[in-house]
Amino acid sequence: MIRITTLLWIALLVVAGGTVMHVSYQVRHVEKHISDLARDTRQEQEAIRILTAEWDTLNDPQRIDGLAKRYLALESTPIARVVTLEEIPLRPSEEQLANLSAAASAKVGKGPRGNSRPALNRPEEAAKGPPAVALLTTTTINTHSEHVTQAGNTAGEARLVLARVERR
Amino acid sequence: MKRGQTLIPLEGVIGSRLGPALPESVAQPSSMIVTVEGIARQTLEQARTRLVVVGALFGLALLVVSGRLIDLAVLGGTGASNQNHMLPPADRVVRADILDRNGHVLATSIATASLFADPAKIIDAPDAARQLATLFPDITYGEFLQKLQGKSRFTWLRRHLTPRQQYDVNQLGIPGVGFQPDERRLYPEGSEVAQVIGYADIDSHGIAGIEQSFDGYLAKGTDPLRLSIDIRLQHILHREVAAQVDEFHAMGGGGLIMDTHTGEILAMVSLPDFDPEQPGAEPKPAQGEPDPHFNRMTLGVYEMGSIFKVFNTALALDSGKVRLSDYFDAWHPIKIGRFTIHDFKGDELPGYSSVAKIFEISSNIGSAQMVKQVGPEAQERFMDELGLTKKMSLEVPEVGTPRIPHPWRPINMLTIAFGHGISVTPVQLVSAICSIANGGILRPATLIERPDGEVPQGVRVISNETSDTMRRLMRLVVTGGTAKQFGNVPGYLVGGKTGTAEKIMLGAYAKKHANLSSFVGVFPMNDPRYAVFATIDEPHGNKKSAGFETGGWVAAPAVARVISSMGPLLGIPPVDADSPVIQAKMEIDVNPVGRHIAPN
Repeated sequence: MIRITTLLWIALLVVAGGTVMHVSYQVRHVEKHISDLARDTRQEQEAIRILTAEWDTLNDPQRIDGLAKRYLALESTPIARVVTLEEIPLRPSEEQLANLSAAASAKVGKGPRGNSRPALNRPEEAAKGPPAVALLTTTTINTHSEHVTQAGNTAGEARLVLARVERR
Repeated sequence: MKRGQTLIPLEGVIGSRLGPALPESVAQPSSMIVTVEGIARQTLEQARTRLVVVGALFGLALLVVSGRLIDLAVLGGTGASNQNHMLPPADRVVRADILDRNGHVLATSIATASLFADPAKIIDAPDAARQLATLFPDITYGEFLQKLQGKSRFTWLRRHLTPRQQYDVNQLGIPGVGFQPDERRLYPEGSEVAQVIGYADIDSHGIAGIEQSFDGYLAKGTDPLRLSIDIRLQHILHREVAAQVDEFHAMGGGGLIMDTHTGEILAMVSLPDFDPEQPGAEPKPAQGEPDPHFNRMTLGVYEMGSIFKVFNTALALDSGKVRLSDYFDAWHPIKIGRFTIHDFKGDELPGYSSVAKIFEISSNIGSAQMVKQVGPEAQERFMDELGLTKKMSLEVPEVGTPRIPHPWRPINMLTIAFGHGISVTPVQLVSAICSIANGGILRPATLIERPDGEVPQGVRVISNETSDTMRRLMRLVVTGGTAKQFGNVPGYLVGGKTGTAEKIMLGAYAKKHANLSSFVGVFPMNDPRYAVFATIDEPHGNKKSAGFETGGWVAAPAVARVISSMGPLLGIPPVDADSPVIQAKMEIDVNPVGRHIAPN
């Protein structure tokens, strides 16, 4: 009797010991995985910080202004050309167009300006040319986060920022 | 062994271990109840008590353990320590970013490594120094050698290495040198916002500007700090003020853009400025040279000259003692004591002039005559209400205290009417201008973005009607007055006031060429939203300005260019100044029928 109980206990002990060892190895493995992930996360975060700084260095209005003056033949939009959406006339219907062209053809010969185009709401605007809606984009700055995350480990490409750090 | 009268039986088996003390019991069978007494009995009792106590303790411990096991296994409870395993190792705290109102980074920190050495462990200092000097051209061999041969056990060799430099140093394999994680503060905009942001030292402690005043918050590394600054407007303002400073060979200059309704400062420029990443790079300014670290907009206090006529006219009209239709003598210079108040040559107004005309042409004599109707006490009270007499509160440490006369005598009243004898910071001035233009409510200036719709209550300083009149008068300055050459921006209804103040030097008004020429513009004047201010310090008139050095010729062009750039950027629809609706809102009669008030 005593012998069977003892054997049972020994068996239980072995099983328990084995389980503990297995679990402890598993835990060690998982912990290593976690610390790897954490290290990678930190590296990514640091890369993101550097790339964000690079992005904002590249986006510095002073730099953009300088580049635009150097390479682009564009000028800033004259204020007179900025109009609100309400000021742009709706496209005339077919019927209106027909009426207008009928009226225009009736006037043909009276003056050089008799064309079939519908008159704009404000003739003085029409004389200056089509109203160009100025590019009123608030900023492109806020869209950078996706670029940054895509870039991942390419923090080494943040040339401007790293150059500034090296410069001391 | 004696037998006493009272015997207390002791349970349990007492074996032969009791030894010779119990000779009789040895012979007795173990089942017998043994009674003992005296010292032996005491000992037994003590042992028994000890056993019980220890047993109880073990039982309790087992109970706790099994209770915990049941909790974990059956009830599924989670220990506090469980979660520690889930968290990544604690991150290094990095100083928080500073952003502009659109989220553009103005200041950020990146992780770097710093190189240090333990000189005691260095084997061959000259060789190590030679190798390091080839890697870092900014530090000489001698400097490295000195550090490596030092007595201390720790010395920084070079702060803030890039990963590549770190790799290179590792490749050298010098024993006794090591790296410590560090962080480096970066300012992507360079000098453009330097005066506002300030800077942090090599250990990332803020020591000027926002970096200093929010040092504790930023050091915690939590959410970024959002300023009211708009970097696009900041660039425009910086560009235009710098252009004027260059063109007129001025000592310096400054500019401000403020939201008239919220008091938020959208841009703030002070020239000359500095590189916040190398704050000590430039040599100390010589005597008489401007200090690049000096923020003219918040720390500098200046006599602002004729811009104060805005406050003077508003005070006179709001008091009810002066009507818009009143005429004053703006011709005869006022003599008081040994001073004489006169007007700029060529700007004199013969005879009596209306309030509007005095404002339009910016007559000192007329303004002084007007304030006589109100008196010094009311003027002092009004300046106090406008926040021009005390140090303002702003989120930077560099804030100047206004210089006001004490006591406030009648002579001071007369000079303050045209902006001399009182010195204020430009931020205070623009805040007060906003209150005059926005309907009469003064709100404190701020550099931190106000959350949407959260506008402070503010204090009423003038009535809405007076504010409306002042808007018309300020528009008049741009359409026909001192700023008519350059102040106007077709499409936007700009209004404003010029100011040209002679600078005080060594306690006296300076010679020619020492003016502070300013212009404050507000737009759109039918519903003011932004105030734009520019000031040029000691401009030298040139051909382009026909030799003039006044605010209208020197500062107004900068403001006009800023407005024409920022209007489309912010999506402000232009208006037709000739439309009847706008005409009705802006018109003002310069020659009304009214009473003539004689100088007394």
